[in-house]
Amino acid sequence: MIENPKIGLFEIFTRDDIYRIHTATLEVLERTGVRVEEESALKLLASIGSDVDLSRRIAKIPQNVVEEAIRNSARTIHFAGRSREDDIRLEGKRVNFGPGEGATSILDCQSGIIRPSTKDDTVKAVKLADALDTIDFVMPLFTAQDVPKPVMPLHDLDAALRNTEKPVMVVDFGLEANYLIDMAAVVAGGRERLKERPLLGMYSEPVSPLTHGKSHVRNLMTFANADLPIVYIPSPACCSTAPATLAGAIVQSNAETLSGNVIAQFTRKGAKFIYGSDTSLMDQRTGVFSYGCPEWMIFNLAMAQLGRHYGLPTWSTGGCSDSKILDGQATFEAGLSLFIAAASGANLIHDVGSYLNFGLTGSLELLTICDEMLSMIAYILRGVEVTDETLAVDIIDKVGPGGHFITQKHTLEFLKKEHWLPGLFDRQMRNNWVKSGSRDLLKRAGEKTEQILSAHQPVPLPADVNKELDKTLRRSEKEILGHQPKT
Amino acid sequence: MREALHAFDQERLVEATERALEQGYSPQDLLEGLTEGLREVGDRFEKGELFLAELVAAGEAAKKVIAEYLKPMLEGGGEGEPLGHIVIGTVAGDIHDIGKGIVGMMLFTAGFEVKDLGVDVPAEMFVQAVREEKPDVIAMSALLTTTLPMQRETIEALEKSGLRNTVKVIVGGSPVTSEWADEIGADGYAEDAVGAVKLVKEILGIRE
Repeated sequence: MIENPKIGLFEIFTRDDIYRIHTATLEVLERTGVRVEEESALKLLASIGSDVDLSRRIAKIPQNVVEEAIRNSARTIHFAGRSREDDIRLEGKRVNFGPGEGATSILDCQSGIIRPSTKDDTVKAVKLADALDTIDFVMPLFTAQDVPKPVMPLHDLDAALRNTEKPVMVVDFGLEANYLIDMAAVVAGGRERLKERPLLGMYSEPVSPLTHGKSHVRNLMTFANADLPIVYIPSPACCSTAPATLAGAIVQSNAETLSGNVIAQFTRKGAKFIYGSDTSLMDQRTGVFSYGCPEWMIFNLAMAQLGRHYGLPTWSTGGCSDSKILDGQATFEAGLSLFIAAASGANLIHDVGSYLNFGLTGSLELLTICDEMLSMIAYILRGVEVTDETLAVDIIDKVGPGGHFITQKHTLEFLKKEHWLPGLFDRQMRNNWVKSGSRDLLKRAGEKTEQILSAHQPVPLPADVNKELDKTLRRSEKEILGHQPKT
Repeated sequence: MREALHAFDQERLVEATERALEQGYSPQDLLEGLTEGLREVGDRFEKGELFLAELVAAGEAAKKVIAEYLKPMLEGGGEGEPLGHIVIGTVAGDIHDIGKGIVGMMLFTAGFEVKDLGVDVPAEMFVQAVREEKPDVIAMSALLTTTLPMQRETIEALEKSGLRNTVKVIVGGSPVTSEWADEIGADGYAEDAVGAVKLVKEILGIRE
């Protein structure tokens, strides 16, 4: 976590820009409106003064409603870990990091082979995320491709709940959200206890442009009612599902997430809504949704600044790449996007080390490398501490012209406090590097990952909770599939 | 017309078509010219000379001219058969439109007739379309992992209705893999829109 960085945030808008984006957003919501596929949400929007056309399922939302929803939103969100030490707060400039969820394949960097990801891969990813110091919340990184698809989100969550004490966030993938809450409630000790210790958050998405899908809106409302953290952000792509212009795409993204907030806040006042977007572009040569382009990074800066302007906890994305393998492009795009997201001051930054190949492929080694980069980024954003002691005028005087500082007590006292030490990046002299096997970053990241996975044992769930979680998972599977799958 | 098509300008293409018809060109000739022009646009996109938005704009313009001008005049003519008939749609529970739209446009650009059923298309609607339209291929899109099973259900519905052997089935969408396509008994899968055109030609035995 980076807490209240000393360095100024990386902001791109003037006050005037923000005013114009905000008023343009209000105009879109009032003039064009949003399509809402869920009837109960449409009726809710009508009851608070929106102009609703039930047959076209369009709701035009007036300005005062949008602004009232912003005022009613939770300003600070407590996102709980299984243990209190792992709790995080989403507010102000506190920046927290976590992996994403959604990769359907895993890249084995040592062999170069890409294969469908399994639940076992998800378990490993969660264990690794549990062990890494820079990771504050956990998403399951992979999706289990070896379980029946309709119940896959339950298995991703199952792997997460059992293998980390950090706060857990999962994607709903359109599955009825109560199934997810049931499982988290088992770990928390009941639904009421889960409200006090919200150890599960949900990520869901409107569909751009300006459409709220049925299952996603229902889940948004379910999580609002359960008083659990909800990330509800669009992923529009310039030139296809959003205008080509950056400002236009930002206005649309803002309208999409803020109209979600209206539904959340009027479902339950003070709903724990997390604002943001994952806006990028459709590459004009290949049609892909890019997770490494500079436009995507600018959008991340834009949305963090807008969210902070509204006083809403914010969501962002970093640590991904469009590269198919873990190469120079991958580490550059991942590193730069992480720095941008961190310097934006967004409160939850996801997809760390999770997305290669446009979100389809994950790599444990990339997560390990991102951990190193994050620790470096956190160090940079901490800035310089300026006190009498650190200004060191007495020591400079004592050593004087032509002396050296190596043996000074001051040096020994501060070197560990003041400086960053690499854990994975190499600073050996060439001869020693050759002697130790001439290992490149990829090789070292692979070894470190293996080491962590063999040494780290996450704190297990109590035996009775484990059993109860088994039961809940099986019961839900049976309900969803209509039969019990073989294990 | 060629110029208007390559400028991706719908209004100019309509004007040029009207002018050409006045000058006495037969709709059949114009259709052939337009098809040839579209193929050039598709080739230029594949080479990286054109952007996706330009490809789609050219396709939309040509589609309008064919549907509103040339087709009505050609009714009953029967000449210039398309390469094949495709029915395309996004499966039930999924309202993602754009990828399916691009694949449909690429197929159209390549010379296929494409019927787009839209998004959130239930299995029965695909079955009905196969019964009524008798397409050569149906193409199903799904973006959500949880809606992927609808591709399987649609294939099963086709089997139940006894129509599975009358039509080829292809699947696509970000979480779709060739393993998934095999598992559910689809006839093919392609990674992107250009691949989809190649795939359709391959399974219909059409030489490039």
